[in-house]
Amino acid sequence: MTDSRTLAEREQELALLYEITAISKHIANEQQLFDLTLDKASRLLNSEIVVIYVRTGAEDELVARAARGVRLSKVAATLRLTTAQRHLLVDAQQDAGVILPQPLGAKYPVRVAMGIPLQREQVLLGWIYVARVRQTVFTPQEHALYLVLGEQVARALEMLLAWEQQRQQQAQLSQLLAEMQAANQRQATLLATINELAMPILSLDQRTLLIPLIGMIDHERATLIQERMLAAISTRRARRVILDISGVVTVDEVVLMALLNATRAAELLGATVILCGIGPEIAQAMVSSGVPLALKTTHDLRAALGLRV
Amino acid sequence: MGILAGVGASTHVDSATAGGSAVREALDNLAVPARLLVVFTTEHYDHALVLDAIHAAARATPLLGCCTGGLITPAGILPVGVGVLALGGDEFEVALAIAPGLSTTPTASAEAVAETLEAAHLDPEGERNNVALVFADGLTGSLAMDTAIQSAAAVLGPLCPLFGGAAGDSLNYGHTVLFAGDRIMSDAFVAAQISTSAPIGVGVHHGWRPASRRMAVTRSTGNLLYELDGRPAIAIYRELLPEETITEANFREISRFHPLGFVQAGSEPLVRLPLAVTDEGALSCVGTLPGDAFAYIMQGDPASLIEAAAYAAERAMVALEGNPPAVAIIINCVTRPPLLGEQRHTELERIRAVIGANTPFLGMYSFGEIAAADGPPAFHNKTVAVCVLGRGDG
Repeated sequence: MTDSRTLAEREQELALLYEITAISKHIANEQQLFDLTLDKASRLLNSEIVVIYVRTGAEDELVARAARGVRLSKVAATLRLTTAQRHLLVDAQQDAGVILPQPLGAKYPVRVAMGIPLQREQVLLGWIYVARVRQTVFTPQEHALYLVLGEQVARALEMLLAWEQQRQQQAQLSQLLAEMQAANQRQATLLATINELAMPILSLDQRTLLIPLIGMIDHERATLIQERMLAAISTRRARRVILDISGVVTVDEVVLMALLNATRAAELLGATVILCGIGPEIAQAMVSSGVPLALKTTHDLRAALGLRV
Repeated sequence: MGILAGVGASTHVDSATAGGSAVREALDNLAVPARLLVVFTTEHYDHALVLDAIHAAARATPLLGCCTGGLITPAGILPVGVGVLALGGDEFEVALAIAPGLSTTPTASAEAVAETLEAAHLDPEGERNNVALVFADGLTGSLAMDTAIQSAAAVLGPLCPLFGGAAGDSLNYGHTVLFAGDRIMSDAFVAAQISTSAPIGVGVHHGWRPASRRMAVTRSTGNLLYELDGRPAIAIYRELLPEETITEANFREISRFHPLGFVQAGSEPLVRLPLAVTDEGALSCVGTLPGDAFAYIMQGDPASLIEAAAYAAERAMVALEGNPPAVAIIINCVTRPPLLGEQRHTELERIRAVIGANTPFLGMYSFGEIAAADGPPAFHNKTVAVCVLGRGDG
């Protein structure tokens, strides 16, 4: 079979094909895709009316999103395609079988129309309706070009949908991260408050500080106790610090070492530390730990207050 | 009675005298009461005085028109003058509207005009033939023209195709105006819907042919073309036209012989005229450029341009299907006469030979042509558009 087209006709067909296939390369957003699609389907391929439908969340419901040659407000706002209609491309208006959905009112005596499904891997993403009022046919070449246009638009639409999903996921992640950061911040504030409450530093007189400790003491808290105690000694110019550990449940070797270090550091600042309120269990633990105890200790607070330093 | 037409023109330097003389001649030639006047002037007149004189003679006859780059009349091509086309008879209905804001709010402006025409319900059953004669400011609105055309076409629908042109001047790029009734506006969009049982034919053709390889538009925005095939567009011009010494200053003189063409199915390429080189090196074109498109640098010669004008007239006449023409309106790009030189008269003679030597007609040299052939309406450059109304009296 010989190709009767002239060189100029084939060059034009190639030019049309190149222009159509360029459509999915530089799409930044939906509006740009719609504008390009309307231009190609109407001006480039010479159809007076073009309506672009895009599938929304509802299964198989298509929503009119852009139009050329007719106002968007004048076309059917939503459509549903039957399975047969999804595969029907040209409505010759003489086939007694399946006919295309007609998005237009009676004002438009369409002579020939085409429905181009926008599909990716069997999933319907949208539908383009193109119609002619003056001409009565789509040539086989035009038919093929519209199909290529449909493939390109579907590809671009899929890409935009993927970007949109990614954008939404990123937004969700960002929100989650912000919530976590806020929760961490709240937790840190709460912890600071708890630490503050768990380790009040009371001035018994101008030279004596009382630090009652309660609850569990781990290495981290022991360090905090040391820092706060030294700061208080320095700012309040204390000479005597009574660490009341009668409310402490238990201490281990690491904590004992930390308290010992705190005592030595306090001495460097000119203050004496008295450890009071030692219960039997802690006394036993202190002895069996083997840590050398160069500490002043008393049984209770009264004794500590009476101790001369 | 069908559709009847009479044409008058005057080159008198006095505004009132020119307007009065042209309209009286048109009304005399019409010989029945006028029901629509189409008025074309050039920038050399006080348009208020021209319209006052026309209204004084034609009273409240609906009127639309614009300032142009020259007149095309049965008396010949007039670089200065006032031309009036008077339509009468019982075979048509008319609605008329004008709106400002073409350059700033093209959609609103065009929709306001089209909705006024639509509200007149001239053809509620869609059984008649319709055309919307449209004129728009080509000096302020060339960038907005495509949007305005698409917006008006969406309201009026494809059964009322748009036909007309962009108002301008004699390539001075100074100031232009549009008329509707007794209103005179710049930066406006004006239209008259003619609804008739008589046939209407439209032809549009330019005669420019690709003279280069096909090139991808790799960077453009609006009416600005930056790059072809990834290189500065002006460098491409220099490469493809080595015999010319192209500079930013003389680019307009070269480009008017070598406009850009954008391929389209079923018709000639869409022509865009690059008018100037911007400071950023972009080619500033008359009208918006298609996005992600492929373009050619075009060429034409007097023979191809004249042939195209005749072809446009033939296409318009074919649509009449043998019905005799009552009147023709010719919209011709203002940049074509300088290319044709003395052969511009030959171009007109070829059109007249097609539409009939005795068919009344009036035409204008425009800053862009608005027409739909067999497809959607478009804003054209360097093109001839012809609209013919059949007589419709059997």
